Amino acid sequence: MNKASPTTTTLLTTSPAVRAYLRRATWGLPKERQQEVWDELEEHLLTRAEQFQLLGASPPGALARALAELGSPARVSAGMTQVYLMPKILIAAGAAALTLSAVLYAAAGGGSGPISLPALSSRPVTPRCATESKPSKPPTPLESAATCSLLTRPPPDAGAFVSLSDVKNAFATTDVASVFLPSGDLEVHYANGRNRLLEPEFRHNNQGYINATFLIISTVREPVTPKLELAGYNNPILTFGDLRLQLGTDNQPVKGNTFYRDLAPTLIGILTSPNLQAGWSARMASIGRNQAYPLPILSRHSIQTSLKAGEVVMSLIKYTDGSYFADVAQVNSKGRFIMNSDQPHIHFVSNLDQLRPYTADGIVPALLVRITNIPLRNLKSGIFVPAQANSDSQ
Amino acid sequence: MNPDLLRGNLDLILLTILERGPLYGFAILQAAKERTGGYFEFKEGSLYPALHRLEQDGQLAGQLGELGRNGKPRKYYVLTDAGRQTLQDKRAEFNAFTGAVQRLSGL
Repeated sequence: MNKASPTTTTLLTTSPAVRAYLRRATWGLPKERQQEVWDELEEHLLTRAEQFQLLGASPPGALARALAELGSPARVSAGMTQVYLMPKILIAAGAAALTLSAVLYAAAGGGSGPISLPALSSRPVTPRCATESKPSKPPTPLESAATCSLLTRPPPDAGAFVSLSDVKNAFATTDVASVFLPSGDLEVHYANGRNRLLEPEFRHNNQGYINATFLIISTVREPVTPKLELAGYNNPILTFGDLRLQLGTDNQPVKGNTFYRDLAPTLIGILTSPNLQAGWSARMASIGRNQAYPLPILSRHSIQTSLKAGEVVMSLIKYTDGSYFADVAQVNSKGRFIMNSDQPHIHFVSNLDQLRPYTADGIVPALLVRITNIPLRNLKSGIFVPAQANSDSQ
Repeated sequence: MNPDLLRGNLDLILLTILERGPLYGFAILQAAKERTGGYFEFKEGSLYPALHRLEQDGQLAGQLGELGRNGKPRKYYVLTDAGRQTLQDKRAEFNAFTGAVQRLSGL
């Protein structure tokens, strides 16, 4: 049995360049082949690097020369794809896979662009036999029994759904390992040693899909990734540790109104929870898309802010039962956004404790929170009060 | 050497190297260099796809051997009966071709 040089072995296992190379070279291969090719190339790199060391090269220099000698990972990937994929898929699909793998490699190797995850905007239509009881009328702030009401009810099965295979491939460009379980769940192994299960909500074309918001929901309670932030409204970008994921593409977009309104209960939970690791009240965060009351928009407030165009703001009003009424909107090029509400007269406050369901003067307190380009685990840092203390609906 | 020549005869070269016995990827490169006095300089990026293609075609078979430097079993490539037949055919074809070129040159 050969003994690996500790120096070179350490270099190989810790070098981001090597990991990025091997990921790029094996990306897109069938699962059963991916590890095999990875091991083969890794062994080659290690052996060659040791040869260079014996010839007098420094360990980093030896590794760099071995990598250079192995040539472009895109070339290896293209060659392997031709062997294993081309007979099975259309050439065009293969070319798309190669293009995406190049994007992944760029992302891992210092490229600044995010990885795009195509998304379905709705669940596949399936026959249903279900009965549903609905309230006879929408709740008012005084009598609401709603957990968390959203102003605009999206179509029952609308959302932003990404495939677990795409998520797995994206994770593969970072230190996050993931593996499919026989159940179809994706088990994600974070660098801090914690695991998370991503359970598919449905299957489509033999692929398991999850709501894109679940990527956040599953990781927000515990800092399994050093960074967790959102940016943008349509096709939002989720910074997830070292990974930047664009949720949606031009062809398969994620609509901001659907995505953020799906996420709103979670964001409310983050804001109101004294201890994220302990979680938050299910009443706040467990609203289903089908449970939202189809409230009419009674009042529109145009709010001037000092925020940059494209930032996303969530507005909150509190009901008597402790639940919240949320709306999410994008700031326009003039720094304004439209806050939809069921209240014609609102007063902006600076913290959650100041939210009250009813005031004698009929002016209801509202809280504004910037939810993009700030740490999602510290959403309170996004609370702001606009220059105008009050707003009357247009 | 002209890389087109190498590319055009890659299967013949690989099958010839493995005719003597199973080898793993890196050892195949070493053998190609040593047995030709350094004349054959493979680009590794093209070696592994070629080996996997020949394996998929049934010309070669993969066998796991001793642990490599990464602690995983090395993958050895073994010439199959079909590969041996292909080697004979390709060798005959190549000999016919080079013979014709030599005759053209009056050698």
